[in-house]
Amino acid sequence: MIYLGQTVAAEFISAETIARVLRVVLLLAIGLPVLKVATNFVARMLRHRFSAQHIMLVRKGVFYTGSAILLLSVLRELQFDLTALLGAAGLVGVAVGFASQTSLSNLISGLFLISERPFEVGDVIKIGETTGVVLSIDLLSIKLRTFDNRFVRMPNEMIIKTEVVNITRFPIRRMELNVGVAYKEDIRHAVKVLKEVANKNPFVLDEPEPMVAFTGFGESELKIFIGVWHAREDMLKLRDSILPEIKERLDAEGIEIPFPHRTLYVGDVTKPLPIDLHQPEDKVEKAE
Amino acid sequence: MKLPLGRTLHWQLGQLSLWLERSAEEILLAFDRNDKEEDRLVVARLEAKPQDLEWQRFAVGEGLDRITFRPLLSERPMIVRPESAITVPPGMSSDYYARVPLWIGLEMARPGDDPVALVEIPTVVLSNTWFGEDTMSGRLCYAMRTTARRTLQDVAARHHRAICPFQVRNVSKEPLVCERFSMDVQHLALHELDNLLWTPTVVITHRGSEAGQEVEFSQQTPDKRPLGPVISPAREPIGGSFLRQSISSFNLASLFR
Repeated sequence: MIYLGQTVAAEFISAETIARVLRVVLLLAIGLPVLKVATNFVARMLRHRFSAQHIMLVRKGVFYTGSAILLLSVLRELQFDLTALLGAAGLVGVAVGFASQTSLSNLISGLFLISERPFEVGDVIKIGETTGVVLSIDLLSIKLRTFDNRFVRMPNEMIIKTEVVNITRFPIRRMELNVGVAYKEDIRHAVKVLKEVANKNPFVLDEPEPMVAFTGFGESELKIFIGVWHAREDMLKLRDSILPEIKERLDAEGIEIPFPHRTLYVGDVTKPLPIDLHQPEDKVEKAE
Repeated sequence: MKLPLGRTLHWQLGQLSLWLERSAEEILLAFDRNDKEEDRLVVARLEAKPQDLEWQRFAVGEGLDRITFRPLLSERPMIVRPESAITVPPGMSSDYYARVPLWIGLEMARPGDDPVALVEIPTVVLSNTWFGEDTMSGRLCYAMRTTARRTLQDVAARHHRAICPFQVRNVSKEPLVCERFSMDVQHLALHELDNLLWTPTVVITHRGSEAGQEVEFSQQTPDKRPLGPVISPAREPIGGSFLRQSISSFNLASLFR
């Protein structure tokens, strides 16, 4: 038995096979580290010239191309017939293509997104009802982290079709506030007071200067618009400081912020509504 | 100076008041501002520890008890306006003086060692502002509350401000309207001269709306006096001249009306 086994082993594991396996091992042992070094080198070369997602894409491109070359070399070394393999791969490709139309659509949308660059990794964007920080832009989808720390995956096809708002694209933004003051108030004085509040807040940019304007007559109030510019990172600090400041200053100036109210008119020009005050019956009994 | 153990010292530089206390292992720091006190100076006065302030703690260990107050300029450009818009005709130049607010850098050191920076505190709270052609491109700056003056006599000396002279040269063929000046103070060192802090003179040469503006720094005051020794080096030193839009002649808000 031992003799037979040694013969079989000798037939299948010839010196040539061993040499071939050694070559494959050598190919992988050299090829994989070289591929890793090459991807890192390319990433380092592009670091100062391209954005994070472009570098990531180039890295992936270099890695997958290198891996494919390495795989083909290994298969060739193992004496696989690559012509037949490629032919089969073509047929499989057509079948997979039909089966993965959505993925292909996402892939093509991803390429458009990457070339158009409406946002970058780290930007805060709003898509539909979702607002979050872009974690990555991949070929099939983008990944977001929302402010309540949820992970959201958005297919690229959907992003191409939907309105995308990039909240942090520009370094400064305008915060828009609407304040109502009572009809009895002096509009010019109220506008002046609100302008002073805006000018005094250190998070409000001095230029472009704050815009405070009387915009119309509301149901219960005179409407005043306040548009103040701020550095994008100061948005929360500004909102948390200017809203209390407006209320405190209007209170200090005796300017009323009215509650919504409605005047009922019952005809006869100026006759008021008759009002009778009644005490509830149980309270009347207790009082007695 | 050396901080006494367990005692609270008070400093006041204009609007900024700060208190320091050295405990066995820590430095305690608190500060406050008073808008009404513009020119008060208090140096290391022993006081009772104020209780109503927020105290910052620095774990510095033992031995590190020599404190240095280093005057610094802002890390961002400062925007200063002339008293009213001014036009510099072609071929002319004009001099200005601005009082730039200082930041106070607190440093601790053991004798013979390099100082350790603890914190930087602005002596006044300045508003942010934007300097650029539109709201998409430009730079975030601080807006100075005081205006640039034409003569040194109009600039009141203050302990917590540095005098920043600048000169505008219009070598173009068109008049230059100046509404706002951008001072890149992060590139400027602080020098001592006549017991006051001075920056080098910023020379802005306007070569035309297409050619842009060239900025360089001169180690002389506009009246040709050499600056004294460096008190604080520039945050971002820069050699020679550089191109930077430093004069604005229009109001961005007009774009949004």
